[in-house]
Amino acid sequence: MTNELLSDDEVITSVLEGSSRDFEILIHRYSSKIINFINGMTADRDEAQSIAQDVFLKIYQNLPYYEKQNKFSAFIFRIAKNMTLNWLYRQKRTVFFSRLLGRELDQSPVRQAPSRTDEPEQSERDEKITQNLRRLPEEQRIALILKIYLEFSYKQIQEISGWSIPKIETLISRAKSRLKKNIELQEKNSGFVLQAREK
Amino acid sequence: MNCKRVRLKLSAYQDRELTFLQSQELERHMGSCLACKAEWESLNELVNHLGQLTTPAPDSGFSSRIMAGLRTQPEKKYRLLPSLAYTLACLMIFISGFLLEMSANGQPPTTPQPTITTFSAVLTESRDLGLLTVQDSTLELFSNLKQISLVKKQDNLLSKLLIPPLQGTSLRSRVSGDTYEK
Repeated sequence: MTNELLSDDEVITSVLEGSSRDFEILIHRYSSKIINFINGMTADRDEAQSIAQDVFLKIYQNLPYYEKQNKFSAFIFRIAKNMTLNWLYRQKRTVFFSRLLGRELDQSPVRQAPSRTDEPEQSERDEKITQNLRRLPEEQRIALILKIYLEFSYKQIQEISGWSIPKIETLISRAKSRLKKNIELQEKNSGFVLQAREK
Repeated sequence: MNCKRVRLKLSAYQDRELTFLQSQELERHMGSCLACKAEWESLNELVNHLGQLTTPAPDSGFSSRIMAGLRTQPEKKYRLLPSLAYTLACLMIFISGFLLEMSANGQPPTTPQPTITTFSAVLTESRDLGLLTVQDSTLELFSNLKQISLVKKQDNLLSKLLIPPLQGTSLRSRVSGDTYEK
């Protein structure tokens, strides 16, 4: 049987029985999704890679506690969500204390890593969306990223977050409205700036 | 379905989370309401933008770095050892303390008897044991006297309260922990 045909639970059993090399199958299966989720939350590509690595190490440590009747994707995204939120809280704390001490950080806590695309127009648009996404409240951001980027159903989002379906529906709806409004406002403002420059 | 309700449900409709009947109702409304249709189109545009966002792929050494990290992690069973060692050390200290106490006294350590700490408590207990007849008002009088040393000063007063008078004993003998035999 090839690795692709093995179910998540079969791979986990194999890892728990001692062949830790099989954990690499799970890494290949989920790394892109995990990095995308973290990147959406942090708006920092390099940090997303680093947090994702820690997430996989944590998943490995917690494999003995995974109950096989549950969805493995829900299990790993729960870990990814918690670790990303911890990182965001630490960042907020750093900003708070640096402001309290009247010091500016050498490096902005939320770095906008350059988008790795050759088209400048797309890069600009990506950055605009990423910035606005970063400004959404955390719960709205989590729900929207899980829905839009990872294409999870409301039921799957419920398994990951523990929120009720009506709450998820409201969070996603509000996130979309807010994002739309912010982007429109930003475009309007940049239009005013261009007009002022032309004058 | 009115416009307000349609706007609330548009996102779930887009996410294909509505029932067939709800979807039909929404589509019927949008067929006749231009404002809601415009809202639907702008929502679609936003989600298309979000979907086109370039997503980062894992770095080339991503997987190998994690696998190297796994190798440096100690096995679960070995990680239990430090906590086991701490528990054993605590247990040893406790047992040796117990044995030392036993060897010093020649018998197992007992819980010390609680000592009476206030003068009013001395009076209350004496009354409860039948040694004294003390009025409640008298107890109140002494309730402010906190120190046992005050017992000495009030000895004369106490001797008047003792009914019947106790030969060769004073309340201080109770305070110091001596057993009083009637």
